[in-house]
Amino acid sequence: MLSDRWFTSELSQSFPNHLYLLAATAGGDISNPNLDGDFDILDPQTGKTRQESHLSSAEIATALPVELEQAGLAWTVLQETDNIPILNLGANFILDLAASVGDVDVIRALPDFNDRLIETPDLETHMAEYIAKGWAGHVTFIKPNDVNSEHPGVGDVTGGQKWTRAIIDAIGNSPEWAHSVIILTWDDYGGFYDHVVPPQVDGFGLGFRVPGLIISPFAKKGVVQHERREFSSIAKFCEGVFNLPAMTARDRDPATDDLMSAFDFGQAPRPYSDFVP
Amino acid sequence: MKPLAHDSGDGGESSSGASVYPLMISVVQDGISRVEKYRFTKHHILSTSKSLISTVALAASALAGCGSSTGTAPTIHQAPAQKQVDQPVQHVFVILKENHTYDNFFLSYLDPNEPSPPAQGLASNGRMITITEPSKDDWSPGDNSFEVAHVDFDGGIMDGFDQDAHQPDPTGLDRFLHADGSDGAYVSYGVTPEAGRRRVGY
Repeated sequence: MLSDRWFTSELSQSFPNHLYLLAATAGGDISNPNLDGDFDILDPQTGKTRQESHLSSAEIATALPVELEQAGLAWTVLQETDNIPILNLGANFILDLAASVGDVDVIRALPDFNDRLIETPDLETHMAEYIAKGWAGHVTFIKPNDVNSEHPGVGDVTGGQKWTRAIIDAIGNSPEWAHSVIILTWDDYGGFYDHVVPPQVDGFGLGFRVPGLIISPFAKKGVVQHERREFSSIAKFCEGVFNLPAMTARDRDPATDDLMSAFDFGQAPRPYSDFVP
Repeated sequence: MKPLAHDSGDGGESSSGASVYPLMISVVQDGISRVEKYRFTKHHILSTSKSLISTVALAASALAGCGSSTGTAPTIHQAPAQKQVDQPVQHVFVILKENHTYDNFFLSYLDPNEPSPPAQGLASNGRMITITEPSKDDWSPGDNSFEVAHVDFDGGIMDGFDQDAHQPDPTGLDRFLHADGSDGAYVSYGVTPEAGRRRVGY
């Protein structure tokens, strides 16, 4: 299933959109962290910004990892790092290599935070082992390093998509495939043109469209869907699947699609080979 | 290309007050030695190509004295047992890539029940810019900050993608921030079905 009304959550760059994926809000953040780790928080009422180095519970009150843990469920972040540590210094403010979780106080405070945030080089060669050793959480966030990210100027598209294919192969060829949903999307518009006007639902977004693909034994085949989706839709989907509460106005909004129509749970489960060209 | 030496400065302040980290690399290419200087701020990107990343990586490893470009293989421990949920969907994997619009990848992936999307994009002076295939696989259209995105959006007119942030830098001083071609935002890897099916190397 390919979604052609899948918008970024904020009319901005990586970091705030990563936060929406985790929490259906960016807590007012409108920028990536700078080299000192500080980012800009906008008050949409006054138009004024202030700098913060982390997102307190006043800005982000809860997030998917928190909701999952409160329900006795597991989350994992698999963050690929560079082989050369110094490259991570550069990539940190481009790609948010801590996967945003480290900047959100309510996530960082979780007792098993350090265990569930996994950082590794060469994730595509280790993915199968992480799954085999039980690290596929109920929700798992997977992030490439800079070279594999497809980020213009640091990672080319061909290499990045080979990496993505290797990650999806590892899931698709694992025993977990039979009850998995893979959501593949891109975090921001990257400066590229898109012709569809993103609906404005609050002071922050939506932002320009990105591709959204769903790969699963239950995913509908051969369809392009037009429901209005954004990263909060992923939260909404997880809330529906795992019976979790909504977190913000975004995932409570009936106009934010919950992805459920992308699936046919009555169809014969599709083998992974059905997705391999 | 093989670096001989590497010097990373302590950083400084640009005229805009943003942090600037100069990076100088001596390289030898075809027997000729030269020094490349790089700088970046939070809006900059470290390099323009994988090959340059490799150069920086090699230079960095040489500086560190390790001489190796391979990371340490992780020891993957068994995860703690987790609650089994008896339902069709038990695992949700979210793979988050970076920085491409729908049109940039999927412009030609048409829904047969929908009208064809435009193969041209609107620019600020009302002209229509033809969307072309990028000439290389790591095409960079420049900045994507909140401020730049709002100029692109232009209150819903969607005619700001030809602003300076997405154009080549006429001074040539800043190779990181700007586009790899004129009107650099108006490109699509799937501008036609043929382009979409093509296996890149560009």
